[in-house]
Amino acid sequence: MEILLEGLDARHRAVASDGPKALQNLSLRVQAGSHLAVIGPSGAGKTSLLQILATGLRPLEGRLSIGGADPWTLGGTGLKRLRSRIFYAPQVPPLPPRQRVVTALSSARLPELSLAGSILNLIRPQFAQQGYQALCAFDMGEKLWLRVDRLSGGERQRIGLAKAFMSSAQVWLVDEPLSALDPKRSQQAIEALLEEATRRGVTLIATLHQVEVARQMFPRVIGLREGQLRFDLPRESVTDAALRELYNQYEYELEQTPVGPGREASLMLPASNSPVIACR
Amino acid sequence: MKTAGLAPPTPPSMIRWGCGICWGMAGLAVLVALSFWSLDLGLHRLFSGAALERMGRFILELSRPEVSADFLHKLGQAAFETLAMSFVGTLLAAVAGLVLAFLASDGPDSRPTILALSRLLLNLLRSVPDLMWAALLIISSGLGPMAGTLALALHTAGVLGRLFADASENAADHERACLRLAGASPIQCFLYVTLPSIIPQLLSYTLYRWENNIRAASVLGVVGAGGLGQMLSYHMGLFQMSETSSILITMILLVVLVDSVSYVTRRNLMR
Amino acid sequence: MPTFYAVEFKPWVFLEPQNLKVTANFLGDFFPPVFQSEFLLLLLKDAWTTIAIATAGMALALVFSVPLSIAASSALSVSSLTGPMHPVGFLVRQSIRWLLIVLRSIPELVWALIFVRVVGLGPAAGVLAIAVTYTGMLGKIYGEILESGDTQTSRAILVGGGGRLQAFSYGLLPQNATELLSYSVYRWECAIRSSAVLGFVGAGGLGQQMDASMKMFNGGEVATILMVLMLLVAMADQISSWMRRAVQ
Repeated sequence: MEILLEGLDARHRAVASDGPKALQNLSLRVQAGSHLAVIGPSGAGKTSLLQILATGLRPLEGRLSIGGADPWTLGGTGLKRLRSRIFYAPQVPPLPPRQRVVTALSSARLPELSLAGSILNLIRPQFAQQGYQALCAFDMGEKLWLRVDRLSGGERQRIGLAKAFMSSAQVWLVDEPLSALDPKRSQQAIEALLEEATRRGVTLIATLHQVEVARQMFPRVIGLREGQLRFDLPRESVTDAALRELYNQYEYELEQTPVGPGREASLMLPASNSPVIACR
Repeated sequence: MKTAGLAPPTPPSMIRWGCGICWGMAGLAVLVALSFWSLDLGLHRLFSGAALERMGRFILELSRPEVSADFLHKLGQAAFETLAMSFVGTLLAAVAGLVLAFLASDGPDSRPTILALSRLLLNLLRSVPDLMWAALLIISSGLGPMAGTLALALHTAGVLGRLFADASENAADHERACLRLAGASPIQCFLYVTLPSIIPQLLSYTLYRWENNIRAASVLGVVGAGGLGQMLSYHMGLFQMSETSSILITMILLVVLVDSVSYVTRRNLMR
Repeated sequence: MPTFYAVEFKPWVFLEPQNLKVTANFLGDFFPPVFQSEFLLLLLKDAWTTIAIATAGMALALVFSVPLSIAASSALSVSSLTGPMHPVGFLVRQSIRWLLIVLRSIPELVWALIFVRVVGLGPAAGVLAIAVTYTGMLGKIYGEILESGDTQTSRAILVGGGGRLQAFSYGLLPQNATELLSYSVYRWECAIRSSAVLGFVGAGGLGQQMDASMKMFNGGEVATILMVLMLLVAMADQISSWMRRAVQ
C-alpha cells in the first residue's frame, strides 16, 4: 500500500494542548513495497511517526493517506479493516506473560478469525506450523510451546518481529527492532525481516538507532530531529557528515554496530545463505 | 521452501494430570451441577405466566414512591439510625479487632493457649453472620438498634481481627527486632513498632468493612434491630409498596454515600 | 457523640435483672448442644442446602457479571485509543455501571424478601437473591481488575484491527485470569454466609433451621447449628485459600 503524508503535525496525547509537538510539518511519500529506515536522536519523533501510520495517534494538521484513503474519514468498520492490513510492532512487544508463544504469535491473525475461531485457537492452537516457520526464521523454533515469561528480553523482541510473518498485513511498521539484541542476533533478525518483506512485497518502515544497519540494509533512509524531517536520501548519499549533523549534541547515541564489508563476511552461521524459512 | 519434512516440536499433552487448578475447576463445575440438580429450583416456574404477571404488578407498584413530608421525616430518622448503627458498630469492631489481633497474631513471644483461644474466638465471631448475632442478642436485650450495633460489632470484630492479625504477622520481623534489641515488652513492641507500619492498611480494611456494614445495618431491622430494615419489614408486610419503594431508594442512596466517602478517604490515604 | 445516642447505646441493659435471667437461661440451654443423630442428619441436609444455594447463586452471578463487566470496561473502548470516548459508548458503559450499583446496593435479604413475594418461599428465592447481588459485586470488581491491569496487549490487538471480544480473550483475560479467579473463589465463601442468613426469610438451609430452633427457645439446637456453621465456613475458607495458592 502506498503511504502519503503532507504537512503533518502531531502531538502526544499526554502533552497539554500548548505543549511541544511530536511531529512538525512532516511530508513523506512511501511507495508500495519499498523499505524505509527512520533514524534520529531521542525525542526526534520516530515512534510518533510510526504511531501515526499505525492509526494509533490522530494527526493535528495535515494530510494522511494510507492505501489511498484517509483513515480518519473511514467509519468504524472501514478503519478496522484498514488496521488489519497494517502491522505495528512496538519496541516492547505486547505479550501476556502467561501465554504460550504459539498463541501469542497467532494473535497477529485475529483480524481474520471469527470469534468462534479465536476461542478455538485459545483452546487448541491452530497455527503451530506457521508459528514454527516464523520462529525458525529467527532461530527460535524450539520455543514454540514455551510460556512467554520464560523467555529473555531479546527473545521476546524477536517474537514481536516474528508476529509480522504470521499476519497478512501489507504494511510493516517496526519500532527499534534490534534494541535488545546483540550484534550477531541483530544482523540475523534484520536480514530475516528484510528477506520476508521483499518476498511478500510489503512496505516496511523501521526506526533504528543502529545507524550502520540502516545505511547498509535499507535503500532509503530518512532522518528526523525534534519532530522535523532533516533529510530523505538514498543510502549511498547518507554521509558521515550528514549523520554528525543529525545527531549533533547526541553523538553518544550513534551506535557503531561492528558490521564487516559484506554481509557474508560478518556472519559465521552457514544458514544465512539458505532461504528464510529453514531451521538448522 | 525447504519446509517439507520439518515438523514443529510436539505440543505438551492437552491433559496435564498434575495441574491442580484444572482439578479444582473441574471440582467446582461438578459442585455447581450438583447444586442446581439437588435444589429442584423449578426456575421454569419463574417464567410462567402467573409469575411474570406478579412481577410486572410488583414493579409497577414500586414505581410510585411515597414522598409525603411526614413519611420522609420518619425515613430520615431511620436512615440516620441505620448510619449510626453501621458507624458505631464498625468503630467498636476496629478497637476490639485490634486487641484480638494482638492476641491472635503469631509473634515471637506469643503463648500457644492464648493464641489458640483468641483464634477460636475470632473464627466464632466471623462465622456467625451479623443477622444471627442480632437475633441472639435481641433475646437478651429486646428490640432496638443497640442489638443491631452490637451484632455488627461482634461479627466485624471477627473479620477485622483476622485481617489485622494477618497484617501484623506479615510485619512481625520488626517486632522480633524490637524485642531483641530494646528489650521492651510485647505490648510495647506492638504499639510502637508493628502498629504504625500497618495503620494505613488497617484503616483501609476498616473503611472497606464500613461499606459492607451499611448494607448489613439496613437489613438488621428485619429481625427487629431498628433502622431502615425495621421500616422495610413493616411496610412490606402490609403490602404498602409505595412506602417500600421509598425505603429501597433511601437504602441505595445511603449505600452510595458511604461507598463514596470510603473510596475517597481510602484514596487520600494512599497518597 | 450523637451516633452513640442514636443507636440507644446502653450496654448496661444487658445487666438488668430480668434480661440477665433470660440470657442466663438461654445460654444455659446452649449446653449441652444437641447431638442426636436425627438432628445431625437434618443439619447435614441443611448444610448442603446452604452450600447449594450459595453455589447456584454464584454460578448465575458469574454468567451475568462477566458479559456485563466486559461491556462496561473502558479498556475495550476503541474510540478511547486515539481520543475521547465516543458518547454512545460512554452512555452504554455508564448505564451498565449504574445498573451494577443498584444491584449490589440493595442488600441480599431485601432481594430475598422481594423474590419470596414473586416465587414463593424456598431455595429459589435465595438463589435469585444471591445471583442478583453478586452480579453487581462481581461485575464491579471484575471491571476494576480489568482496568487496573496491564492493557497494553489488548490495546495492541484493537489497534491491529481485532475485535473487542478478541482483545478480551487474548489480551485482558490472560493478564488478569489469576486475580479474577482468586477473587471469585473468595466471594464464594461470602456467599455461603449470605446463604445461611437468607434462611431466616424462608429460603431454607441452616438459617431457616436456626430461626425455627430459636422460636422454640431450643438453645441446644442453636448451639449445634452455630458449630456446624463454623465448620462450614472453615471448610470453605480452606478450599478457597488452597485454590488461591494453586493459582499463584
